[in-house]
Amino acid sequence: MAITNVGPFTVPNWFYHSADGLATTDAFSFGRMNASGDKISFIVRAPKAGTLNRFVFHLKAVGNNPDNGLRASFQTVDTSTGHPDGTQDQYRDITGTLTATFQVPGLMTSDGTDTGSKRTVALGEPIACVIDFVNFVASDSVDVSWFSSSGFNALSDRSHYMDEASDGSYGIRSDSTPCIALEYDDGTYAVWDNGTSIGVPEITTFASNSNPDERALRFEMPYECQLTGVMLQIDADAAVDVVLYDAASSVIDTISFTAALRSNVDPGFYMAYWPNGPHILDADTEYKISVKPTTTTSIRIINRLFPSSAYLASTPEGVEWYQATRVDGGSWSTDQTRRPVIHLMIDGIELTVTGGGGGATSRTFVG
Amino acid sequence: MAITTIPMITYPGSMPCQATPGSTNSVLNAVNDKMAFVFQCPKAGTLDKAVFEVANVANQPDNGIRVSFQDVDPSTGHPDGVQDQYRDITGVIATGWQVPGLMTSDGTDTGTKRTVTRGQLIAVVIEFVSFVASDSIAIGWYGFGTHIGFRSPPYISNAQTGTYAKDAQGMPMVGLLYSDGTYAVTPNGPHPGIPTQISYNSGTALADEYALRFKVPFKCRMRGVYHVTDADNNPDLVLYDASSSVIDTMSFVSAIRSSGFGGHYTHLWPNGPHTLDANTVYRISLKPGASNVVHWSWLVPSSGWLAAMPGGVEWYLSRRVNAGSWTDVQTQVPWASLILDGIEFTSAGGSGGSHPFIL
Repeated sequence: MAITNVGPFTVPNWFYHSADGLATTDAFSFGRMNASGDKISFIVRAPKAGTLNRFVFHLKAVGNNPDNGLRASFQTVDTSTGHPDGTQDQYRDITGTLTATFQVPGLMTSDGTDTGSKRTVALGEPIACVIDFVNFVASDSVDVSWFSSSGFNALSDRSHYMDEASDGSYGIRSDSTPCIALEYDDGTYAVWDNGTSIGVPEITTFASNSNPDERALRFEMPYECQLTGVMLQIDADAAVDVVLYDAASSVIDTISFTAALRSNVDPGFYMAYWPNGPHILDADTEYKISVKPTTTTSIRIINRLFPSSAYLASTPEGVEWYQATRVDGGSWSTDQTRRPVIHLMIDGIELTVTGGGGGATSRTFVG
Repeated sequence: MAITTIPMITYPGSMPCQATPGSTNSVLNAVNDKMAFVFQCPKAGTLDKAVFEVANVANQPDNGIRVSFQDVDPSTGHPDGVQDQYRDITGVIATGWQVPGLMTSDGTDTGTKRTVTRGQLIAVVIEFVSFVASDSIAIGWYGFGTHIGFRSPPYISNAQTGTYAKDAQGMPMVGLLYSDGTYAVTPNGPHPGIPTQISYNSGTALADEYALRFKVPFKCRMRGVYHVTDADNNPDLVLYDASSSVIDTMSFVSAIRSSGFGGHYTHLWPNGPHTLDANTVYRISLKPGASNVVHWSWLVPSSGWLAAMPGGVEWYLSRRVNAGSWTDVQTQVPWASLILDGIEFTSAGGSGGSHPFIL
């Protein structure tokens, strides 16, 4: 058996995290709702047919808790305007004290209760996921999160977008990518590979004398493949190593970045080929790619934070990709709600497997 | 054998597009002006040459231009100024790809070539052989916008004003040919492709369909397509088999999009996903109505340079008119990738197929 060379690709694709290259305070934007008629909607296309439980969104801030809560609704997209049609076909109210974090409404149904009818969607069907006030009261104010490519609007998929009515009437944001998750009634999630995600960016600063002093992507690939390089989002203000470990934490290879060899001092994409690579990754086997500062000058790494570990299944990489950290070469601690923004550069796949074929073992990826 | 579900991949890799997908350029018109592309070699080997684009010739350089391989100064990230291997391009320089002769230690075919290790940083530097007043050319590169350009190499060291400065929004537009006839190929760039756009509609005489003609080297399952276009006026995206029978059609509603400018789209096949056989011709065509759409592709120096693009030599442009026979254009690569969510893995003893990717 041998690896078959294939056209090189990255997992996930580059533009999946294209907005993250901005300073995250810019990339992770928000639409402010603070008046009657204000709404934020996310227009997405159902990646598979099925029945929907809900969509999950994120509040970046709660300026003043809405007295009567927020309403999340599914609406039909007006094919003449690209806006929601204004009819709350299925909805759920979120009441009580809201905090600036993920919002996971109850079942979204025709009557807003657990017993109403859910929405059924066809493959590729446009859906509007709309957030508005249940009943606005003066001073109500929340900020709904979305991803911005900050004017570089072609970086955002044209077919998924945020439609902002923060001044009462809808306007489609050309530089937007939705920050939502879509849950089906079989417990699966919509998986998009166009940047739409409920994983929100966060920056972590650390150095060689920090605890932890290594922050890694712990991952598995469901098929044997050839890893030629890595692409990641960091801010390498000082020397930093990127280390590939096997499951026993033995070093397979190391890439060293230096601060002089970069085009810009802001966080952004770095890429390199493994100097002793390419390396074969066995199927269903744990590896880690660790970001390891080599001086006491801090560097920064960009993570994505998810509502819970289950939501890793809403990403193209799936549930086996998440954060691992350690200090002083000790044992690793994992956090399945966080994932460093690290991409694999693959240029070969083993298409022949032993043990009767079938390739990779069954996984929990749900497309 | 059955298709095994895999985490979704966008195959092959692609550079993301900018607000107006296209190239930009820098003008060299003074004695110390230079343009340098700094990047990493994806594999070890010996280099024949680098290709680059001259985007404009305002005034022909009297003594020609020189392209050289240089080391990268680790303290600055710029070329070290030593033309280790070079070649002069003289005579009348036309706009478009420049494919120099062998780049060697003495600038002739008999000099020593450059040997590189895997991942080695290298600078491809373009400058005047000997500047004469009024010489003026523009060197093409790809502009991303500051925030999407790589921080690490690949990047631009731009000395269009005589002094190097890195351009954080620049992606080199360059290709490398090795002495064994293979090319440097990367998933994310740099690529030897000039972004090119074609506007057409159902009444355009030359062609009313422009398609990605492709083969995949393994049997797989395709959910949809990532492509760069300006999908005005409700175009169709059509998947054809090798005999041009329609497998599926995605009818796009132009009102449901974030912008009327060019950009990238992810489209799912409404009757998909579809199984693609290995090493079999398919086409994905952008088919407009009576009003224009814009189709983006990469222009490579020649068909041989398809091997330097992520899709390899089996990915290129096809066009036709009035549903006639296809005309293949093997110097252009549509800016598109497949969204795959399954691969067929065969048991030991089966065939893994082969494909002319040269890595």
